[in-house]
Amino acid sequence: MKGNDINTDALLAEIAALKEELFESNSIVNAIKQGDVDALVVHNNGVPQLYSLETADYTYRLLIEKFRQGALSISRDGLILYCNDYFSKLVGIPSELIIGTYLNEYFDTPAQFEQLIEAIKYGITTHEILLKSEIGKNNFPAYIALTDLEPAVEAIGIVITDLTEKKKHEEALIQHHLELEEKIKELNRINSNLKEFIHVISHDLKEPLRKIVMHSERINGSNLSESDAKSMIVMKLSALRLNSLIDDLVQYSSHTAQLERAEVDLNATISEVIDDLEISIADKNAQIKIGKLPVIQASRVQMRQLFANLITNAIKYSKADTPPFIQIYQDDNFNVEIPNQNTKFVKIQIKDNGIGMESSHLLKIFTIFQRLHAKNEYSGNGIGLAICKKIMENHSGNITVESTLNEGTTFNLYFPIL
Amino acid sequence: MPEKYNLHIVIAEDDNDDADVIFETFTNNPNFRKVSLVPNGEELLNYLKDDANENPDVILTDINMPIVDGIEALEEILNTNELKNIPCFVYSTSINPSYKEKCDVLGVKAYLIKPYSFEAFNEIPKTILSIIEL
Repeated sequence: MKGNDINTDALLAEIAALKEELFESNSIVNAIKQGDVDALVVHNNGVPQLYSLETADYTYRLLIEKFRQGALSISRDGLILYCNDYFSKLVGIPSELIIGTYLNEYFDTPAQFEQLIEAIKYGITTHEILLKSEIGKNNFPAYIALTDLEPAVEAIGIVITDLTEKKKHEEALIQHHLELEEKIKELNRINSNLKEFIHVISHDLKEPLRKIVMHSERINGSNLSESDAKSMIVMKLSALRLNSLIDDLVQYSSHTAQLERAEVDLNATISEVIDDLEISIADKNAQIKIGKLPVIQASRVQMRQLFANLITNAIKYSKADTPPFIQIYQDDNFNVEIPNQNTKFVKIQIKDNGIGMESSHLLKIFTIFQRLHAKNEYSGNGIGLAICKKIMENHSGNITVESTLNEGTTFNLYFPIL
Repeated sequence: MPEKYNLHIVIAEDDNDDADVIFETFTNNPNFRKVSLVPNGEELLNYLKDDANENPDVILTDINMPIVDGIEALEEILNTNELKNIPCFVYSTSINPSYKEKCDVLGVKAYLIKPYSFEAFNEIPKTILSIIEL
């Protein structure tokens, strides 16, 4: 009997131990089910082994639950297995009412769902779609990204990005663009009005001038005293000069940034200019050496004007005893980018052996009607370089000058590479 | 084709000084038998529409004139069937590109620049003759 009792006691103890083990296992399973378990540590012969549980990884669960994009997992036929808080906010329905419904119910066009699933096969996993929202019964644009979670899990992971704000920004951008276009139109209008104004003004100024010139010529100088005759000449020359100033002003204002750009081969342009200037080149026995020059995107007319002005200047401001020697070439060593400019530039130099300038004068020379020399010394109104500067500005480029008195001047032209 | 050497020209010019010079210039040219002067575009149109006046062989007009300017007058002339075959010329102190373009579109024979000397004024009738001869 006693032996039986001992057996019974041992069996009861074993049952109790097994019950305890079962309870422990059940608690673990419950903990896993409720997502309270990050990882399990199992002692195997005294050696601890760590089993982390993917589905219950608290950090990731929290991340997905809290992050500011809609996240869902669905079965292949679209049944929603899980959705995060943000998705429920987006569609305006509590998440417990979403789980168990089908994803296409939230699509503006439910049939699209089949296409999205089909597209995964071809590796196309992102799309723009319209989703329905209970909030104000509005549709909203969204970005949907699908990730097939097989074979790890038999489900499809979905991330939904609300594009409402992005679309708003896009629309605002389009609106700004339109406003900008309107401003540009207005500027162009003002510009053409200004051009018209200049022509009308120049016409009205020239009309009386022309008569002064014409009639002063008709006056019979033989009846005049010597000093009166001299005054007549001064008056006539002054009227002619005023007339040429008006012409230059009109020319200056006619070089606008609204230009027709074309491929311009500067070699060809400069040989045309040299043909035009044939007489003054021969007159001064000038020599012009052309180095390597690029083809640039520019206005043909303005390029001709630019180089004509610069070559004319180099010939005009040459030393009395030395024939002008002018070199025009691209500076190959120029690779430096102008600070704060993303564009790269080509640099072209026009170098002469003329009278040069004092460095204190260099800033003035690009200003309209600025002259460094007395009128009787060198002809001209001081507009050539102002036009050059304007032309370079029209081409989003720049012109600079280096000069040494009695040695020569070098003009640097910087053209952006378009 | 108008009869050469025996032409009638109507000139529209609002400026009295220039009118004197241009009238004298054409009167002294033997190819012109009759020179009619009008002071603006409106008077030019009135002259051409008046049945009492014969149609001229040539029209020369300034551009900047009061009431109806040269361009407006030419627009009407060159769009009127009875008048559009009369060769029309424009002369002005300066070339305004937008006027020049309008003249080209209208079919004006030439856009002349008012000269700076009396000698050059004498070239105007010659230039006109050489163009209408073509």
